[in-house]
Amino acid sequence: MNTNELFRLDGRVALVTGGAGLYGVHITRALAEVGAHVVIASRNKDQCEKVSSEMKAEGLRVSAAHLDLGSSESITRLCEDIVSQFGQLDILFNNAVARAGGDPSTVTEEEWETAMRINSTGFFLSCKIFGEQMREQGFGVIVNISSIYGVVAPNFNIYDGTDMTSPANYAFAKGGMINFTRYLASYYGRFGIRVNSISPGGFHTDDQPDIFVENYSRQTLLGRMAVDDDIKGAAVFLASDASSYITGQNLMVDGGWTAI
Amino acid sequence: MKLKDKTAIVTGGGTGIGLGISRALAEAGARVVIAQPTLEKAESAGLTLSSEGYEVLPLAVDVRDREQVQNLISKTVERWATIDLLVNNAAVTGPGAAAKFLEIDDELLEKTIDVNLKGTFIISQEVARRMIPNGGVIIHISSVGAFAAQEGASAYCATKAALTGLTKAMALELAPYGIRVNGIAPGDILTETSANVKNEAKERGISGDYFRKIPLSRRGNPADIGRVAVFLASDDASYITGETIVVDGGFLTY
Repeated sequence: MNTNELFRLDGRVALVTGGAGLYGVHITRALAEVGAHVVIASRNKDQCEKVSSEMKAEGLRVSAAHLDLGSSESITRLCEDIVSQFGQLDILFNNAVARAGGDPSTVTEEEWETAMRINSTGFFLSCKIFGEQMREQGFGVIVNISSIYGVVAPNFNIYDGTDMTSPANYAFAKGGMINFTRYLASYYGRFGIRVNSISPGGFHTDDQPDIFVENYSRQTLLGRMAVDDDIKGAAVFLASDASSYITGQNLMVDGGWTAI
Repeated sequence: MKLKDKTAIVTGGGTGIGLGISRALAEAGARVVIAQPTLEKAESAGLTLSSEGYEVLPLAVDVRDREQVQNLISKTVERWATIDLLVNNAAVTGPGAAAKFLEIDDELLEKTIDVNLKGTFIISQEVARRMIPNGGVIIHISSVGAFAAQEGASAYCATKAALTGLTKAMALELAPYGIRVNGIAPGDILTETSANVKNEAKERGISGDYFRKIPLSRRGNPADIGRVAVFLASDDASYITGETIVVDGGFLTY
């Protein structure tokens, strides 16, 4: 196949959990722009409907669904719905995350368990239920959205002068996700399923304090936080045949944060 | 096309993985300098690609020789004015260079270090100086041998691990000039020289006990590497620097 076509996803069906959220919306757009039909799903179906109708108006193929990662029935139902509607699921992005709780000084036992229900059990069930569907098909791609904080600890100095912090559970969940990605890659490889993760750096939003954005940017080689487009290339690359021999890998999209 | 009108230099770009990279970059719209130690091999690869309508320039270079490298850069700039991309793929590798640690002689040790590390360093330095006004991308071809031991390849593994450090250090110092630096670490890739690797290794006293099963159940091919080079060279990877992407079908997962 010509190199340019390898980056296309025409005719592929993709599911992005949390696909209407902060990061998810850019992943959704990227996959749809190169030809995929993207199902976006979360507990907030209204938000998914809103994003999907906006993107549909631009001519992109996006649809909305309900998904509660706290319920295996909900995950199974969505899998059945996708298969009955499209016949298959080619691509899964595990992008949804529960950001419950703060750092060790404040996070409660209850908050930790609430987060783990989604970030550990919910994430695992999504891999299992959609992964088993892919095994039956004999093909599929799973991309897990981890974080630089799944690879290195936060530098807490960047929060000086703000009331921000990095949640303890986030590091635990994202770190576990990266090795579980290797597990799934090793397990599912023989069934024609590739499994990789992306570890993006901090995403710039308008509500972040200037001092934080400055502190953060100084720690990257490229001198800036991640913006809308930065995740798009990596998402398409790992979802498409452009990465057909890549599995079990964690791709850093961090402007060089972890290179220093 | 992701690399339309970009100029690329691929060292070792006429054979094996390098040829896969040259082809993929050309398909993505780049003009490619195919740099080989011998002009014949560069020209024969160049002929194949130009007959398919791609713009290529075959040149001879020994990357260990700074003067030859400068000469290569002059000829590239003469033809296409700028250099946007450098892929450092030239390496002493394969069964021909296999030798057990206790038996490697000075000649093989020096050649491996000089081509794989020093040569990569020299051409990167010279090309980066040329990239500075406009920015660019430099890609080092590493190996899974940088991360996991390979029998009979101690010098090779050492130089490939060194490229991981060089990738990060260059990413740091070249970021202010708009130059991104990344690596690709291929796993077991099927080429002319590696086709019979197991038998040839055995002939050299290498047991082969440590060859592993690949989760994707196949050896890679040069095109698998070429398409990753296209990604890293393109604006799709504009927030990626200092990173090495392993392309191994899951070899390193266990």
